[in-house]
Amino acid sequence: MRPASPYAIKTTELSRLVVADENSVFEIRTKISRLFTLLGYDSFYTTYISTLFSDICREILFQKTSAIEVGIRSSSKPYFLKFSFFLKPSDNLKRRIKCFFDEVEGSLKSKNGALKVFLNLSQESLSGKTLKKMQDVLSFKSKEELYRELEKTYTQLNASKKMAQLEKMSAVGTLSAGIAHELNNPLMGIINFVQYCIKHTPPEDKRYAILEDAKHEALRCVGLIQNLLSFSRLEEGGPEDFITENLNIVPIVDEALKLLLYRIEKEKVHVVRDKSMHVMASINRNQIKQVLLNILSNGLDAMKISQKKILEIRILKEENTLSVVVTDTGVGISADTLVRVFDPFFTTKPVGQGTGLGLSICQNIIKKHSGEIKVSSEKGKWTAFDIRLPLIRSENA
Amino acid sequence: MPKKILVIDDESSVRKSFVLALEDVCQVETAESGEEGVKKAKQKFDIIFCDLKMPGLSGVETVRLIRKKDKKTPIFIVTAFSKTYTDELKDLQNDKVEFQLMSKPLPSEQIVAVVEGVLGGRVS
Repeated sequence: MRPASPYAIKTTELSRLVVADENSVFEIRTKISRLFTLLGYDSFYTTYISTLFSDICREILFQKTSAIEVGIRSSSKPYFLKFSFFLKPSDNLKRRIKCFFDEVEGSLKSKNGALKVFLNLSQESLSGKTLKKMQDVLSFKSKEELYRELEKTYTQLNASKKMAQLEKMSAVGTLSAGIAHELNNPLMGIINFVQYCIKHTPPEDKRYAILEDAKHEALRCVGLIQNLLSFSRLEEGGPEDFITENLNIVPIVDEALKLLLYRIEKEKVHVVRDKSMHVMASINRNQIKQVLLNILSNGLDAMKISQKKILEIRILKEENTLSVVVTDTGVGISADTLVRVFDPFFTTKPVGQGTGLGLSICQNIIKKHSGEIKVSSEKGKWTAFDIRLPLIRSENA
Repeated sequence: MPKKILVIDDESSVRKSFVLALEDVCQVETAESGEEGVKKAKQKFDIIFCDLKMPGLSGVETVRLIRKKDKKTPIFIVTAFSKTYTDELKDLQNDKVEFQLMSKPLPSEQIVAVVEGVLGGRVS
């Protein structure tokens, strides 16, 4: 049997140190310093080599060539510690590399060439244990690095959770719109049958009022279904279904308030309006009115048990946006609820009093207007909705 | 001659709604399908109400067939405005087929109001 050639070269890869940013330069410096301490180098050399590596890393970062691979080259003997990277080193760096390493493979002159540098290891042999330790040192992750990774994973997880949630909502939306649609026929039956009974029941009959209740409830179902359908229509409807006019927002706010006047007076709510100016925006009148009605009546709902009942509507004109801010002094919304208020089917109202669609319809409508709707609140004190619409250049204003 | 209307709808609750709402207003004939509706529409009616989404002949197809022979009788397509049929309804309109749309669910006062409106005052 032929003896193993002394030139039979075997390389054991230990680690790949990715140079991504200034943070990773610092980390690699630390790792290299630990590695050489482990190998028994004194602090002078250790500092020298780790400084050299941080310069190499910066150069790699600058030349955008990614990583340093660390390994052990073993022929029969001696063992070499191998570092390989792509780099066109500066003269200074060349000098330092030549000075420190025993062997350099690849041209120091070439452009962005692959460089392999070798260091003769003084130890007679490297036991498996030392190798393992070297690997540990090189793969050791600092707290900062771990934290960054954790943060990255967390962000990804959140994004995918959000996606899953959106998909679920969209599926639920389609499904419920389908059901809502199918409910229209039987509901038409119920309403008409009840109306027929009402017609043939004398008002003094005690069943009369109950039949009226039944009709009222059936009509409420119609309202819920229409809500659901308008939600899914907004979801599906393309821009061609969406017609806007250049309108002044102020009268639309007035109209919405007028529709709520009965409640405002009955519930003794103080309405604060600023001096209205003329603010034009490209608006679908009915839809924006629906948004305002929804937000104003949510505000009224929130103040039912409040001592202080102030509903404030401010219309602000900024550079490119029109902003309608509706603030109520109601129960407020807690932070964890606040992030979900625009989710379809999310409601804090008692069962039967809300579909959980109001605000998601509002959000859809405002999105269709290329605007945005924001909410802020302090639990127990106030809630403010800010509806922002792109402003029309003021040739009419 | 007593006024007569035709209701074409595969849902019995809808047909019955019309019958009940109009019991004192006019005579109501019903058809359970588009096919039956087309057959019955050969007689003279004063108004025809037709559902949109039906198995077999759809509302749009039914109205097309009826309109081939009968250009005059007012036809109402009663629908819950399903997105699926928007295009067909638009086609029907583009082909100058006369019809009107009404949205479901219709409460009785609306049924009565439409019928009385078309028939010109209360007819017993």
